Amino acid sequence: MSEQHIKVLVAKKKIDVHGRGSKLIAQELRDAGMEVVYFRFGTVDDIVNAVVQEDVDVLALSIFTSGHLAITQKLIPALKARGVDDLLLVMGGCIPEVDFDALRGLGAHEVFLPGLPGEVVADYIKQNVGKRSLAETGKLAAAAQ
Amino acid sequence: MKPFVATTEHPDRAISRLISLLERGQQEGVQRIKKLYPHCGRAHVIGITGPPGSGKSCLVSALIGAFRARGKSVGVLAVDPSSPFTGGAILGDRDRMGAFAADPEVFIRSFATRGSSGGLAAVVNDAVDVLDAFGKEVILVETVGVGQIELDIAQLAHTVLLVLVPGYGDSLQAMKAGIMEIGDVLVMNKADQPGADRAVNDLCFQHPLKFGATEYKCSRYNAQHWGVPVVKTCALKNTGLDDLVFLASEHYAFLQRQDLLSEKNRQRRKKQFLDILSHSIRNSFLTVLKTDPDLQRWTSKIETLDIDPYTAAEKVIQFIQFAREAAVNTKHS
Ligand SMILES: Nc1nc2c(ncn2[C@@H]2O[C@H](COP(=O)(O)OP(=O)(O)O)[C@@H](O)[C@H]2O)c(=O)[nH]1
Ligand SMILES: [Mg+2]
Repeated sequence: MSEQHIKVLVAKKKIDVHGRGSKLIAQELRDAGMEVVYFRFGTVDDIVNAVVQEDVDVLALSIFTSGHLAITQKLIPALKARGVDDLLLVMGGCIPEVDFDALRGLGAHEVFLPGLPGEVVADYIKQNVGKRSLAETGKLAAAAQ
Repeated sequence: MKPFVATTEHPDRAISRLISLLERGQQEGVQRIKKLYPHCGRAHVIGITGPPGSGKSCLVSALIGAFRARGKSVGVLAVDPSSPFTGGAILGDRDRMGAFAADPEVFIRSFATRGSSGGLAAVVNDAVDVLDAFGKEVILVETVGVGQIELDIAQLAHTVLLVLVPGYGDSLQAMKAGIMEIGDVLVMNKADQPGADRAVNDLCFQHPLKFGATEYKCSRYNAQHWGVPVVKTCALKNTGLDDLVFLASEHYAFLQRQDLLSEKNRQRRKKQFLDILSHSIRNSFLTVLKTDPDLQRWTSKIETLDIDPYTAAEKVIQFIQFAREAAVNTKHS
């Protein structure tokens, strides 16, 4: 039963005006059969709290204005401090490609370019859910420093 | 009885993990929840139901604030429908409820209905017990009041708030007959919109009633002789919330006074037990059916109509009866 119901938190910055992109990805993931908690956050703690209480398999973080590096840097230690390690973290929105490697180094499992067809993200999630952990990315981040 | 205290994990994580285990029907969850029942039975369970878009989630958010201001810890279970085609769902309630991340006394969890056979009512039943055992004093259960599952869930609440909006007549017609009867308090939300007063008056078939020192408009008496009050709210501006919390608490006190609360709890446990029992019997029977050659011979007879399904079912029941008597006899001899 569990594997059929992948639960995703689609989190979007409250102040980002571009709600369309995150709403669209939420709908595309729903159409791919996933259960999507749609959530606009103010602080990193808002995200951590939602991840913990909803016990999602996947966090899809959508960021349109800047701040993606700072958020990711705070987010992953904060998640681990609350005992979350078995989470797949994907990012998207409007993130410059030059930052992709830095984000992966910080612990994001995958970063997506804007405007990709929804199946790309859904397929990535289906292939990787339950197989990646934040612990693994922590080592990467440590090695990168 | 004291709340259950998780020693190994952050309590929110412990609650959340346990609910997931139960949602997936895993045995580990069953083993864990067994230990929680001695800690259950103190929470006031409030159902919030009504048509989509009537402002239930916004109202839940306002209610969380109102109960927190009164020092009560709050658990929220929010249910949204799954798509019958893809099985996917958008769970948007949490987004409306935001802003409580810094408060450890608030726990919010979203659920998808997963179709009528998904067993959601059982999961929500368990989740109520988990939150109750972990010490949440008020548990708010939001459902879209349309389908049978939602009605089942609304019925496990002690108090049901039925949320309507001005011009509700049309939206009510889209809902199931009988929906009006499940409300213990009728809430006219979006009272800032035109037509709110007329809509309230349209619902009132009784003289106003006094609750405490205050008089409220009243819809009708329900089967328990509780006069169903009607209250106007505006969830976005936080108006009417004091009245709503007061009336919900009055209803709870009424249930206690009339000895209806323990009766409600007994009914809920009886139904839960029968549901669990029939579910387990069904499951173990289906497992046996897959492996037992005798039973397979039977089913093939049913399939070819060599024996009719009613007679076959009667024979199985007789067989279980014999087995039970045999067991009783050996114990006594
Ligand atoms: N004008 C007005 N709008 C409201 C009020 N409460 C909620 N809404 C709006 O109604 C819409 C649906 O609210 P939501 O809480 O998601 O409804 P639900 O589907 O019943 O949970 C949102 O756009 C809210 O902003 C209210 O008291 N007044
Ligand atoms: Mg809602």
